[in-house]
Amino acid sequence: MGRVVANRGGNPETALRGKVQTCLRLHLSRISANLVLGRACSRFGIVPAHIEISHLPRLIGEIEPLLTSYLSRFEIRETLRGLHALLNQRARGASDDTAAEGEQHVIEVCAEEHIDAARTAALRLCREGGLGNVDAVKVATVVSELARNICQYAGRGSITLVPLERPRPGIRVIATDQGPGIPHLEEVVAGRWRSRTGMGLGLMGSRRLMSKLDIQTGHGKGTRITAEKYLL
Amino acid sequence: MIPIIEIEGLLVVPVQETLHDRLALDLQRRLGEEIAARNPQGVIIDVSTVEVLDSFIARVLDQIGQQCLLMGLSTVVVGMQPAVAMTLVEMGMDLAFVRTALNMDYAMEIFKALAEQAAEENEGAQTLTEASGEERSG
Repeated sequence: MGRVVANRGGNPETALRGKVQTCLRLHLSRISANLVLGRACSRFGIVPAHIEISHLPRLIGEIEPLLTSYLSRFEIRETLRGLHALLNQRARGASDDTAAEGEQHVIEVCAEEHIDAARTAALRLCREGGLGNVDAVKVATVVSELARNICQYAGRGSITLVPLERPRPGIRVIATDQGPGIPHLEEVVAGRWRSRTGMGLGLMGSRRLMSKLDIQTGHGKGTRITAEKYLL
Repeated sequence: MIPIIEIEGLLVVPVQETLHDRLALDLQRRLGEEIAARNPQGVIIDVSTVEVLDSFIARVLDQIGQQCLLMGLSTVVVGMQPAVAMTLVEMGMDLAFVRTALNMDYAMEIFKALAEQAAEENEGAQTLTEASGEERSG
């Protein structure tokens, strides 16, 4: 009985192999990913099914030169970034069952200069979190749009950036303000609304750039926009 | 302040990484003044160091292009980073009034071609003695 329960939770080592494979498959085929992982493991006499967190740093060191025959430098960097993110996440010793989030970064936005600060922080956090360069730029662009909307329509508010670890690694962006709220929200979201300042486009564009975007707004009640972008 | 440099009869604007809003609008205004004062053949905006280009800045660039076009000049945006281009496409942004070039050399070629085209049109107009007010708008 006890064993059944344990199995349902999944063997953590097997789960780790899956995670490593997922990272490798960012730019590799399944066969190549298995091959690379198999070779790296065999150097240390590790069975791929039983990779432990303590093996990971050595494995990453071994995987890097193996990747050079398959991938471009840029792709290798992206793949390694994913592996390091996996390592960092595991090193913090959290279990798989609960959702985990990194430290929140709150950026107050009340002047134009803060838009840039928010943008820069988003880029840095995304890269640290293992997002590829294109995705990091997309998230930073969305942060820029949301921060600008705060400046322009509400006067002041804040952008909160939260690195996500589980269930899906990525980043969450929360933009809140106590401004007048977004009028014509339905038209804006349907893409029918075009303001002179182009806000409709910014908001619609942001939705396309993120994995998920949720808008809560009410007349005079302020606005809260929550958006998430996932690593994989 | 974003510098505006004159090279071979062209105004070149190297945009730094931190292009915030007031700077962008300030650039738009100063560029208009510089064009009137220096009478250049065109405008090149170098965005190769810009990592994040959102809809507002994209719109300012497009408006600069439109403004220059009304003054009879083409604008070429140079060196857009691939991630920036992908982001703009996904957002559905459209830069209708500017041309783009991968690097400075290609931008120079565009202007050379435009100048030759204009010269040919001039000759053509003279031989035809046809007063054609049509401008090639790139």
